[in-house]
Amino acid sequence: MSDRSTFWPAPPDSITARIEAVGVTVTASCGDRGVFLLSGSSKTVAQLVKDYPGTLLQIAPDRAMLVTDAQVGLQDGWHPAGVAISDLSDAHIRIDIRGPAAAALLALGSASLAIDPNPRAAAVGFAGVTLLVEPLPDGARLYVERPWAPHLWHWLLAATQTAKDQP
Amino acid sequence: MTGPVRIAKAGGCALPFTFAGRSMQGRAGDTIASALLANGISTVGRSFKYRRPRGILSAGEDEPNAIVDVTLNGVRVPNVRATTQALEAGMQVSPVLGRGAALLTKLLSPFLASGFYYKTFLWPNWHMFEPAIRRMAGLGRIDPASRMSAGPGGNLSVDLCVVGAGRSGLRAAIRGAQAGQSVLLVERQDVPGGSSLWRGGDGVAGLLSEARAVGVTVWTGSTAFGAYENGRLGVHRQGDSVTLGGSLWVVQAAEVVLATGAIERPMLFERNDLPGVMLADATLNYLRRHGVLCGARPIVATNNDSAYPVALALAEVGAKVTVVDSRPPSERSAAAAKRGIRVLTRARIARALGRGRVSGMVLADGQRIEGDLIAVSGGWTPTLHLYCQAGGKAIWDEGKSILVPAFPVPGISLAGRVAGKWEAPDDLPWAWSAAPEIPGDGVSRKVWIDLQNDVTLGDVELAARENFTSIEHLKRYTTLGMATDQGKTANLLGAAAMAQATGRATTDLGLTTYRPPYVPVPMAALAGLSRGPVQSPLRRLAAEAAHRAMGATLWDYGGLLRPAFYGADEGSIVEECLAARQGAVVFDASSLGKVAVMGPKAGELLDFLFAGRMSTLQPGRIRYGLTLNEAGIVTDDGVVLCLGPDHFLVSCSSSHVGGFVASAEEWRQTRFGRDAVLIHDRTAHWATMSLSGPKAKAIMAGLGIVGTLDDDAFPHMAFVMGQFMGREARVARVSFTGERGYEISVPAGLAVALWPSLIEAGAVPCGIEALGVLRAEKGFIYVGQDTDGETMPHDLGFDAPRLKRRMGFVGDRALQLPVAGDADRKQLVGLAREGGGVIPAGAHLIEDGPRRSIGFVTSSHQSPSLGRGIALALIEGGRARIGEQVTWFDLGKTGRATVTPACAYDPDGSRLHV
Repeated sequence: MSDRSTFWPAPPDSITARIEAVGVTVTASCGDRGVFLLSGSSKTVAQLVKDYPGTLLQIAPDRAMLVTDAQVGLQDGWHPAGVAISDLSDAHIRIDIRGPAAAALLALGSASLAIDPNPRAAAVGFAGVTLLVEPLPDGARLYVERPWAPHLWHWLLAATQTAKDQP
Repeated sequence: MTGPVRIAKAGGCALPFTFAGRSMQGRAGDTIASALLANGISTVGRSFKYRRPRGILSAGEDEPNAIVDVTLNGVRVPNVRATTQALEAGMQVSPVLGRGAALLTKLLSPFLASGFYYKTFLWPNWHMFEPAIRRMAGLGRIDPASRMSAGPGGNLSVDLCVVGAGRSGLRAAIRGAQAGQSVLLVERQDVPGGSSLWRGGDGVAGLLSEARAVGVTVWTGSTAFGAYENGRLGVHRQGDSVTLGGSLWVVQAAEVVLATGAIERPMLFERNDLPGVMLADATLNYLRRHGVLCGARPIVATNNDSAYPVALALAEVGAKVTVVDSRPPSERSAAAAKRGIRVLTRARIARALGRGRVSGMVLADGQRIEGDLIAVSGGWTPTLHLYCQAGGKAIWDEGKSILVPAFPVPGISLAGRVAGKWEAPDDLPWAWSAAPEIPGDGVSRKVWIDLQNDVTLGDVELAARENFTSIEHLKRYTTLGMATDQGKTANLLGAAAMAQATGRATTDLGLTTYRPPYVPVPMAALAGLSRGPVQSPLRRLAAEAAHRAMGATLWDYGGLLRPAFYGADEGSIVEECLAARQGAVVFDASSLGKVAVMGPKAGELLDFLFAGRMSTLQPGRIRYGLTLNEAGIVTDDGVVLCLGPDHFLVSCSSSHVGGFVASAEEWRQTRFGRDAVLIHDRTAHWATMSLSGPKAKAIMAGLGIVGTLDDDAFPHMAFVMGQFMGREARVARVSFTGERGYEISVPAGLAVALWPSLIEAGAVPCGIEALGVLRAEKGFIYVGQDTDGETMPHDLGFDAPRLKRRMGFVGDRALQLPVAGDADRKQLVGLAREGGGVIPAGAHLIEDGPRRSIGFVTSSHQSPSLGRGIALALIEGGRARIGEQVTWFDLGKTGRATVTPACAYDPDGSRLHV
């Protein structure tokens, strides 16, 4: 049986991983923020989280993800208001792509982001996987599920290394 | 002086290169083709089928002959089009087809007409001849050691994309930008200007400056090769070197203007494939752009006015030009004659003369004309490929003698020659369109229509006689229009020839379908970044670093990179199996599904999704179940945890998480109401380590994750919540090994901490290979490996879903069909090999008596615990055969085996409580 651990490079350290390329900086982080998936009527979800500071990423008409630094009283399970709540704080690796060349790198990975860097639905296809996008003033923050994070990181490494060779 | 020669003294710096081993020099700015012509090369290769010598025909992407292999810096690139590839210093250029078996094929040529494969290689069968024919066929040779690099390409969104930067394209781009549109102008050549670069014409430089001033983005060296749905164009941008595959771009344009020009057609006459027969426009291109005169005594043969400027330009540089015009005298022919050019009107070329290269021609009236170049112009075919790919249709307009778009395609407009418009170069009448002229009876049929595929007029007429008269059948029977040039110079001629052979109009015959790509795109560009580990990525475990640190051999299992075993070699698998039975092992089960089902109807939905009732589960309890499709076939198995009356967690198998979620979503939305039950895939949030073995309880006690491990309070198929490193943990008593088991789930960020804790506490790391043995000893299935597309629950021993006749779940009705009750259904059983050893997995099982497969081995291992081979198999009426002997057969080997129950280890399940 061949060992595939050399073909598949080791995953990056999600605390220290960083890519510096011309016009763009890519960093990874995880686990230090509260992330909650909420499903139900969008009005009810909005009402439920209105007091919690943070970002609400709309994934679908009845699905949103709250990202917050604050301690919130959201419990896993079925909320009587008719909302399903799941703690996903460890589900994603956050990858920040920032800098003047960030838009080009984001467009490289996603036809959707090439057309609209501020998509109405946060879920987009990027580099072959589905992830969530939070637009930033100088780029974007990608929320990629942990199992796909090494692939995305290696894709970003390849893209930033070869982008300078673009004709 | 005979043949092509460089007449321009000034030019770019010298670029040394070789052709077929001969050292030559070109200039910066040359294409490979112009450099070859400048070095007097007439023959650039041999033809595909008959191995006839072939020269350069054109100066663009329509070139059928000058296809070469190029080696540069150790990288070999096959099938390079010499007419569009820039020359680089150090290139080693060689023809893709050498002389080879020229004599043999010449002798055999009378037998090599269209369809000779189908007619000749019938006996004893095609496969006997295929290997040799495959070796002889094909263009170019791939060097597996050569890897082209490529840029990543990307996506670009613009309001307007203009394809073609000639005057029409530049004007369209400027108009768009002035109207406030974001505009991308795509040009195949290395500089904008289109045919103005050699045909001349005022204002191109000004137009280009204006385009840039108004913000038009200009991509040169870029070919829009495909038009796809919703206004998407595929654009290939050439790399800086032939060894760089360039990059692939998807351009999303709200509006597309095609200014792609037109392709000149050859003329049909005997021996029209002789080197030295070139398209008239190409000779002008080589003269004006590269300073190469393709012949000192050119004969310009034409049926339209576009060749006259070519004749004049050639005469201006001192060539002794003869024009052979098939039409009556005209103002334009008279003007040429006044300039000292010999013009023959109403003259048709019948045959080219020369040995290995043109030395003249014979007209239809028998007159001989000396010359070293035949520059032909048989009319023009608008380049409607992208329009057609976008849903349009090109039809022949008999009145205008030109190919025209049949109807408009939304979002696409045409400009310039592709729209049938060509600005006259002077004040004289300008007749550039012309119908193809097909030789009539009484002349040789060895007239080449498709030079790349060696298809002659005779081949087309043979196809007509054999009733392959539709344009699509003609293509497939003769290969006309196939290969790397896709018949750009041949398709319309072929259609016209077939029309004449069958007495129809070209309009009625139509054309074959234009499909992307318009020109070949390097595979390296298509791949872009998708190479190596990025090509087909795997999901990774959160604790992969910890597994690597322990020396795990990693392998890809069902889209996941997982530890196969730990240790130096596969001998570790035995040790891991024994450790599970005698001590304790830990297995990373993080990829198992963790799908939360929540809401008032959560239990109802699960009852519908599983072939067993889940709504009766009490909080804290776990139940195993199977999911089926509508045909009653098992699609997955897993366990369901009840977290509360309206909150369940489904742990489906690793490879089926996406499928389960999709199915559950569909049913909950269509049957149960969107607000009554909701589904969250939480698989990525949790990491799960599966601790198993007789010492598992002691290890769990040492970890202190949960308060009680008492079997009464925490029995098998129950779970409790606990804490690990201050965060919530869930411990479930389930087992896939048959031993006492605890599945510990913690937030994924803690996986790298939990794994070493378990190892330090005494658990032996266990890979998926050992797990496969342990579960097979118990008769536990892998759905998809131990089941097939016919397996129902009762075939696996789960009789309740069928016998209890509970209805209201996916697949319920199918379980009551007569076929579900057949006695000879394939059922899961075990096998014990007679004489010891392991039966090959996948082996067929043969019934005694008539040799017939009655089933197959689904899993097979050497069991370290039992000291013998074990196997699982699906066998017709398997359970009734327990105790019987069957024969197994695998790749010519046979043996005997006894049918046993599927469970070979601890059939009463007592080990779960040790």
